Amino acid sequence: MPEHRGVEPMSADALQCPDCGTQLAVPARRARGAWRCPRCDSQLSGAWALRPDSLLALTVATAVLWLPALILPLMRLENLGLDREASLLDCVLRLMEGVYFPVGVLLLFTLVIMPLLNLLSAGRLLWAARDHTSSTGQPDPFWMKVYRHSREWAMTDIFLLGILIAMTKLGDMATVTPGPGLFCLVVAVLLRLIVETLAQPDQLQRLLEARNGD
Amino acid sequence: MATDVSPGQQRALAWSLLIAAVVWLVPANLLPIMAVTETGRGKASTIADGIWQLFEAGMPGIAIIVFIASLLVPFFKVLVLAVIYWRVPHENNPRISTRAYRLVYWIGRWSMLDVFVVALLAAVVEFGNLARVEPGPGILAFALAVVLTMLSAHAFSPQQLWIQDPDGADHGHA
Repeated sequence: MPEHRGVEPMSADALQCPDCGTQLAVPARRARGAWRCPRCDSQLSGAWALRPDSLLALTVATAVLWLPALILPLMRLENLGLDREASLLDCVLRLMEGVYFPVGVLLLFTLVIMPLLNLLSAGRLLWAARDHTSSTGQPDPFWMKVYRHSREWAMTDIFLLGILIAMTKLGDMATVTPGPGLFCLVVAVLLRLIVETLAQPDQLQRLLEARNGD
Repeated sequence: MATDVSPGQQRALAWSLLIAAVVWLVPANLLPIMAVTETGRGKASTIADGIWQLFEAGMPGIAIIVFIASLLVPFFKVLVLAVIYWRVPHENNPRISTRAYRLVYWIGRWSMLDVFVVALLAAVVEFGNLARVEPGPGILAFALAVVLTMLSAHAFSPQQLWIQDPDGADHGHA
C-alpha cells in the first residue's frame, strides 16, 4: 500500500505538502489558528501547540481505562426473569465462532488490535517528543506509520454509536441497563479523541525532527 | 512519493478495489444482515428492513442516523471516488476534488456502524429458545464492501490530482 500521507522534509524549515506536493516554507512563529496549505487547503498543523507532556498523561489515562472497557459488561439485558450481559470482547468472540469468522476478525482488528496499537504508538512518539536529552536519535518511522494507520482503523468511536443504537433497539423488547464497561469505554474514547485532535501526525513528526536536530 | 508504483498502476489498483466494493454492495443490501428469533419464530431482516423497523418503532432520529451510515454513505462514497478517479487525467479543479476526497476518506469508516450493531445484538440477545439474534450473510458482504472502499481510497493519492502534465506519462517524482 503506498504511503502517501507522509510529509517529506526538504530542509529544516521547508516541507512538501502531503496532498499536492507543493514546497512550502514553515512559518517561524505562527499566529493562533490552524496552518493550511495555500494551494490545496490541506491542514498541515492543528490550531493548538502540541504539548507532549499533557498528551502523554492523557494517553496513559486511556491505557488504564482500556482493559476494563474491554472485559467489563457494556450492558445488561433483562427479559422475562432471564438476564444477560455482554462485553466488547464478547461481541468480537460471538462473531468469531461459526461461519462469520472473517467479520469477527475484522471486529478484532478494528476494536481491539488497532486501538491498542494506537495507544502504543501515540505513547511511544509522545515519549520521544518530550525527551529533551534524546539519546535514541531518529524519530521512529515505524511507529509514525503505525500511528497514522491506527487513527483511521481504530473504530471504537463508531462502536460507541453502535451501542447507543443497539440499546434503543432493545429498549422495547427488554429492560436494558448500561454496565461499567460502557462508562470506561465512553471516557477512553473521549480521551483518545482529545489526543488525536491535538497530536496531528504531521505536526508530531516535525516536532520530533526538530528535537532530533538539536 | 516513496513508492516505486507509477501513478497509472496506483489508479488501476484504486479502480479495481472500488469495483470489487460495488460488487459486494449488491449482496450486502439484498441478503439479510441478521435474523431475530422470538419464541421459536424467526425473522430475517436486511439493512433497509432494519431502518424501516426503527421508523415504525417511533425512533426516526436513530433511523435517519442508520440510514445515512449504512445506505447513503457507502453508495455516496463509491460514487464520489469513481468521479474523482475518472476526472484525474483531465482534472481542471483539483481543489474541489481534493476536498471531496478528504471528505469521503473520513466518512467512509462510519459505515461500519451496522456491523457493530449486529455484533452487539448477537452477543447480548441470547436467551435460548425464547429470543436470539443470529448474524446473516449480508453482514459479511457489507463488511467486505466497506473495507474494500476504504482500501481503494488508500490506494489513491490526491497528489495525482495536482499533476499538470495532461499525458499522464511521466510525472517527475524526483
